[in-house]
Amino acid sequence: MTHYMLILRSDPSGYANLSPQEMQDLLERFEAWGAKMAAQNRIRDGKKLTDSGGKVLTLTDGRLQVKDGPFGETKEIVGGVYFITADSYDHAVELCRDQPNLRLKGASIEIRAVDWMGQEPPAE
Amino acid sequence: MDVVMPSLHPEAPARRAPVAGVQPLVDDLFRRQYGRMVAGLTRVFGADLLDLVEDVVQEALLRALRTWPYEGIPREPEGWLVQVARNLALDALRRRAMVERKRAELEQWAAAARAVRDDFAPEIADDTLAMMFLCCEPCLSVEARVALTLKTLCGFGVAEIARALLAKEGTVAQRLTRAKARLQRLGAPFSVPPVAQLADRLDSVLEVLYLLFNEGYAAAQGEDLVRAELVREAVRLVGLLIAMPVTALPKVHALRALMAFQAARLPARTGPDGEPATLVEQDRGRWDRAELAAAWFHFDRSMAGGEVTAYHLEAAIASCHAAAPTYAATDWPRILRHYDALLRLADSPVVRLNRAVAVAKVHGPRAGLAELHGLDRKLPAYWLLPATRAQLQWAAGDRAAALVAFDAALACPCSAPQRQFLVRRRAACAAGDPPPDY
Repeated sequence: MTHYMLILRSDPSGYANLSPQEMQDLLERFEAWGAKMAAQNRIRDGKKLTDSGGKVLTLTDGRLQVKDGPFGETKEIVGGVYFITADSYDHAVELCRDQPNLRLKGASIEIRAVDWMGQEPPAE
Repeated sequence: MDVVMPSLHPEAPARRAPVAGVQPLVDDLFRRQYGRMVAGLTRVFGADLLDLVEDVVQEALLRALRTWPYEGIPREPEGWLVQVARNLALDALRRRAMVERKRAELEQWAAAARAVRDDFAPEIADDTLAMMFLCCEPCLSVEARVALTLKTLCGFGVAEIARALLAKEGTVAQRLTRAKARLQRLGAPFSVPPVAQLADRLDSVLEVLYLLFNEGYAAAQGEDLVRAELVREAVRLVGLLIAMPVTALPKVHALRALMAFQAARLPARTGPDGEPATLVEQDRGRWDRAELAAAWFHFDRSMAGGEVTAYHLEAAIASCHAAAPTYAATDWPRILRHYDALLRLADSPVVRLNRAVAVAKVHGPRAGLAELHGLDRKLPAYWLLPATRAQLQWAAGDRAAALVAFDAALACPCSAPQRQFLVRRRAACAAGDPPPDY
C-alpha cells in the first residue's frame, strides 16, 4: 500500500457556461467517486486550492524572487489535490479512471507516489 | 483597495468530513437555489442589474462545484451558497459604490435566505412572486417572457431552454439579452403589482405558465427530459401563485385545475409496450388519483367569482373526460358546448381543430370534417390536422381519402412515437380494418 497525491488540473473557463443543473450533475459525479473511494477507505485528504494569489519563489544570485503564479503561461490551473492509498500506479490509475475532473475542459490528473525512502508508510 | 476576496469558507458552516457518508443533494437543489437567490438579490440590487445578479449567483454555484468535491458537501448547502453569494454581492456593491445604500438590505436578505429550503417560505415568496411579474412584464413578447422565466426563476441554462422549446441556442440567447435590455429601458419595477392592476398583469404570467405546461405536456415519452421538466416547472409556479393570497384568483385555480386534469393522464399516455396511447385507448385505472383529486379541488375553487376565462373552459372540457368512467361514456354534447363557448372567447385554429372532433362525436364524422375546412392554411404542417381528417374520413367510410390524409400527416414533422402511431393507423386503414374510435 502506497500513498499517492492526485493533482487535479482544469481550465476554469470551461466552467463558465455550465447551467445550474449541469453543475449539480457534475458535483454528484464527484460525490459518487468520493463515495466509492471512501467505501474502500482510500481517501486520506482532499483540499481545494485558491484560484488566484499563488506565489512562486526562486533564489537568484542570493536574492529571493517572488512571482505571482503559477498562472499565466498555461490555462490549466490546479483546482485541488487528493491524497489516496493504492497498491500501485496501475491501481491508482484504475481508481481514477472515473474521476469526474477528467470531464472538464483542459483537464488532467497527475498521480505521484509518495516516496517513503524504503520505510513503511505510517500506520493509519 | 478593492480586492477583498470573498471567503470560500463561509462563516461557521457545519461541514461534513470529506466524502464520508455521502448524503445526496436534493434533486434540483442548484436550479432551485439559483432561482431563489436571483430573486432575492434582484430585490437588493434592482431589476436593472439583473445581469450582475445572475453573474453573482452563477459564481456562487461555481464555487460550490469547485470546492465541495474536496471539502465535502456542507451540511446546509443552501446556507453555504447564500453566504458565498452574499460575499460576492458585497464585493459587487463595493465596486459600484453602492455599499452604504444597500448593505443593510443585503444582510437582511442573507440572514433570511440562509435558512430557506423551499419556495413557499415567507422570507422569499414575495421575491419569487415579484420575479415572476418582472419576467412576465406585458411589454415583452410571450417567447421572451417564457425564456426569461425559465432562465431566472427556473434556473435553466440557455442550451436547456433551447432544447426545451425546440429553439436554436443563439435565438434564445438573443431573446434573453433583448428582454433584459427592454426591462432596463423600461425601468421595470421589482414588485408584485398593486391590487388594481393585479388581475391584468396576472394574465401575462398565466399565459407563460400555460405555454410552459403545454410545451412540456406535448413532449412525447422518451423525448428530451428537459421538455418533460417544463410540466413540473409550470405546476410549481402556478402553485406558488395559489399559495399567495393576493394572486390566488379563480382563474389561477382554473389553470391549476386544467394542468392537474391533464397531468393525471400522464401515467396512462404510454401503453404496455411503450407506445403512445390516445385518450380512447388509455387504461383509465392508471390515471393519477391524487392529481385528479387536486384537479377537482381547484376546479371547484375556480368557480368563485363570475369570470369565465379560457382556462375555465379548457378545465371544464378536461373535467368531462375525467368524469367519464369509460371513453364511451364521455359527455360529448357538454364538451361541444364548452368548445362553442371557448371559440367565442378565444378563437384559434387549434381550438377549432379540437372542436371538430367534438362536433363529429355529436353530429357524425361528416359534420366534423366540414369543421376542418379552411384550417390547412392556418395550421400548415401541423400533423394533428391531417391525422384528424384521416380518422374522420375513415370513420365516414372514405378509406381512399383517409389514406391520402394519413400520408399528408406523415409528411409533417412529428416525433418518433407519433410517427409510429400514424404508420400503425395507416396500415390498419389500408388493410380494410374497421375504423377505430377517435
